[in-house]
Amino acid sequence: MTIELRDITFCIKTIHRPWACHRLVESIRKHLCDPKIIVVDDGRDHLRFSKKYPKTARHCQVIDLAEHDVGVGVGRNAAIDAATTEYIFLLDDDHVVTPQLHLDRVCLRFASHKIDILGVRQGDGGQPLLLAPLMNARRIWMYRGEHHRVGALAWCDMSSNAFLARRETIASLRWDPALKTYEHWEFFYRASRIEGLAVAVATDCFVRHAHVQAKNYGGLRGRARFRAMGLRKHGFHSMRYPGGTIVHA
Amino acid sequence: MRDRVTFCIKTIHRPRCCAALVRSIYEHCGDRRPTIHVLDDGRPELRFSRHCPEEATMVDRLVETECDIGLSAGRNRLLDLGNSPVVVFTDDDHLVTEHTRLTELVAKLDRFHNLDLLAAKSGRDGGPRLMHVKDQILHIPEGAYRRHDFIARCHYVSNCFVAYRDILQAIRWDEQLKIEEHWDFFWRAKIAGVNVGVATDHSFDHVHVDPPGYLRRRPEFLAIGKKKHGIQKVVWR
Repeated sequence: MTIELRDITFCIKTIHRPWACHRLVESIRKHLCDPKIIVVDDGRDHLRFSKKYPKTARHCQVIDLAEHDVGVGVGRNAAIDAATTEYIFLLDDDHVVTPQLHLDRVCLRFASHKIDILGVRQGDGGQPLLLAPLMNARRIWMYRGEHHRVGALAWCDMSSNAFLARRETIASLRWDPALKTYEHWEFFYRASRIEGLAVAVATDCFVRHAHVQAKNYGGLRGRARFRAMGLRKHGFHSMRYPGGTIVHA
Repeated sequence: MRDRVTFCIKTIHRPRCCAALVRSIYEHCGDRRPTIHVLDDGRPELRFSRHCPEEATMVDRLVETECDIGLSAGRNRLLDLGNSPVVVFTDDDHLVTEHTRLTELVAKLDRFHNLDLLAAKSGRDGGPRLMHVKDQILHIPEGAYRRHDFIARCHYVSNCFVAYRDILQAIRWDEQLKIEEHWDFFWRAKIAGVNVGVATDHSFDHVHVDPPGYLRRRPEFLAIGKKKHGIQKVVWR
């Protein structure tokens, strides 16, 4: 099995960071030849990517959702549902693709090993993470670690948001539409710990993570009630982060 | 104590050491002793139950496995065998003494915030150590990054400690390492962010014993550990 660029759709959910989204799309186009890109935008009309950067948007399939702030879950699901290729590559809108992505390497490894979701590093982040229940499954611990490793390929429970997967796998798994943010661990908790999918990180492949703190974006992201919602959904009263910080639902 | 703490002993080919450890738990913990689980992966003729049948009846659970499953697999099985929230791990040639004060050691684990694993000293050794990698060399020098109330916060301790079972179950020992598992375990624990310390005013006795049939020096397992972490050597400074 080989995976070609034409078999992949790059899926991007964006809100209120049109410049970041423009930068990402341009970076994909710069380093890859004629990529398929879907952008789902649930921002206010005047902050839309398609409105701010119409020339760039012409190279993508842009889905401007009618409803504002449907959240990351609904937005990503819309992108996955719209894709028609066998594979998707998920990206955050503040990622930047560079030659260090080594997409050919990512595709080769995905095709050669039993992997359902293959993440790449994002700058210094995106290290392989594990998830373990503590305190009689009342606390979830997210920590750095690996199940096993073959060269630069590390199997784990959770990768970054920059990953390659079969479209069908992700369309079936889906993001929880109720979680507008803090969706990341919950998605991977279901993927690895409940559905038993094989998650891995190609630790020698990178996207750049150039976080953009836009004025209209910060307030949408830091909404702890969605973290609490995700934790309670799985019966956890708290989460222990890799640095040791504990947050309660 | 028995509901809350399990003393886990992995033993191979040192039945008399194991018996002495079991007796020392009874002697120094009395009615407040922890539950005792022993896993023996020795050859049948060198089993704990065969050479020390009386002490074998003193433990709450004795598991005899196929021969030489290794320290890591043995300890993992002990972890999964019980359900008390706290476990004690020592080598089979450690002894509980009046300096161990096991109940107090467990109380300190519970009392101090941000502590997942609390060791005692191992005889005169077993002081706190740090871990870092530089130029593909894993350094494990003596030292602590913080000290308070006779507790030294560090990365690496001896194999005589109390810890939360769920934390150890998350880290686990690597079963491909039958020995040379210790630094691999604590290096992964450090990366994971496990909070480790030594209560320097508590100790277990440790009189090392290498009886016939005891398999200690097996450099192939050191090589596996080094390859796994991409390091060339491990140095104790």
